[in-house]
Amino acid sequence: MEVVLILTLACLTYFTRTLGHLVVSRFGALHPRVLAALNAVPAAVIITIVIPSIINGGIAERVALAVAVLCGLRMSMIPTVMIGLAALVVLRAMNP
Amino acid sequence: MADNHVGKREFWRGVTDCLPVSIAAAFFAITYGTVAAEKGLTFLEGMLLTSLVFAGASQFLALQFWDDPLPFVTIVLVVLAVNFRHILYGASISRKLNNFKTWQKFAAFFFLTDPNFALAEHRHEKKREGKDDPGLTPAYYFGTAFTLFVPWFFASAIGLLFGGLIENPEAVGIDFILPLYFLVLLVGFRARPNWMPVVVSAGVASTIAFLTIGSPWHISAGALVGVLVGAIIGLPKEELEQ
Repeated sequence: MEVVLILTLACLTYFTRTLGHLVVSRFGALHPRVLAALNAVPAAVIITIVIPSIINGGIAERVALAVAVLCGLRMSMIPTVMIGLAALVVLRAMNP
Repeated sequence: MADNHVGKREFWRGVTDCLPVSIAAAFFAITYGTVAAEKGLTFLEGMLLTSLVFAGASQFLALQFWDDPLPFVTIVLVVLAVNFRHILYGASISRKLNNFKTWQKFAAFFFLTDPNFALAEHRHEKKREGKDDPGLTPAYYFGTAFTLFVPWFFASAIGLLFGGLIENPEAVGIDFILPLYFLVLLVGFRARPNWMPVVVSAGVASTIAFLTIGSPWHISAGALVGVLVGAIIGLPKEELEQ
């Protein structure tokens, strides 16, 4: 089952990577509303993935997420995630 | 012969352009492998996922929901949703592949990650500046693709091999890497049009759904509202001229 899922995800990812080209080379362009909707999908989905961690998280988790957002405005991904993680580890150690 | 020379030069240009991103990505691949091992994926499963899907956000999403029993449909749907940005990448890059043969195009799409897309667009933009400049070539594109893929592959293996050895994952925060990663990824998208209204509307709808109907419906409810808001507002003119 695990391998079937992985192969499904692989096909799905390759399909979405090819689809834009197939549509454009056949129809010329995507409809503006479709483009606007597609453009919104990743951000709309990603925020829903984070919401449960914000709602269910304790103080350490929430502060770590806030620190990561602030750092993310200025820094690249790796240091930002590292700093957020460091904040989490320190806060968890303080309030076991 | 001249073509061959340009090809070599463009390949190495792709390698050097991609190297900084590649080093950064390798750290995430180690993280991916570590989390995958903690989630109970076998080495083979973890390596299949990382080499066949080859998309950081999609791989992390799969891990986020990986459980026993496996929530097959949920994982497929969330990965599909986050993959939607690839359709936009493909539509945008499609007209810039004049130097590619058909099979090269379809090989190129396998490697169409966020950084490879950005580098390819950037290389295409740079074209006008020099007269003998070939623009975006297969040599350049596959130079960036290999430079991202090879370290990603081996770094994933390192994470998978050693990730399971960590005794107390909560003490070092491994259980919380995914939410942190997704939030930072989201902040990184903030320059995109309609980002704020989409995130706020999706966030509010998702919160309400999570507190009332419960998981996993908060994903579809939030995503649907955010996408509707994005479609209703529409894109600014300059974004439509792909």
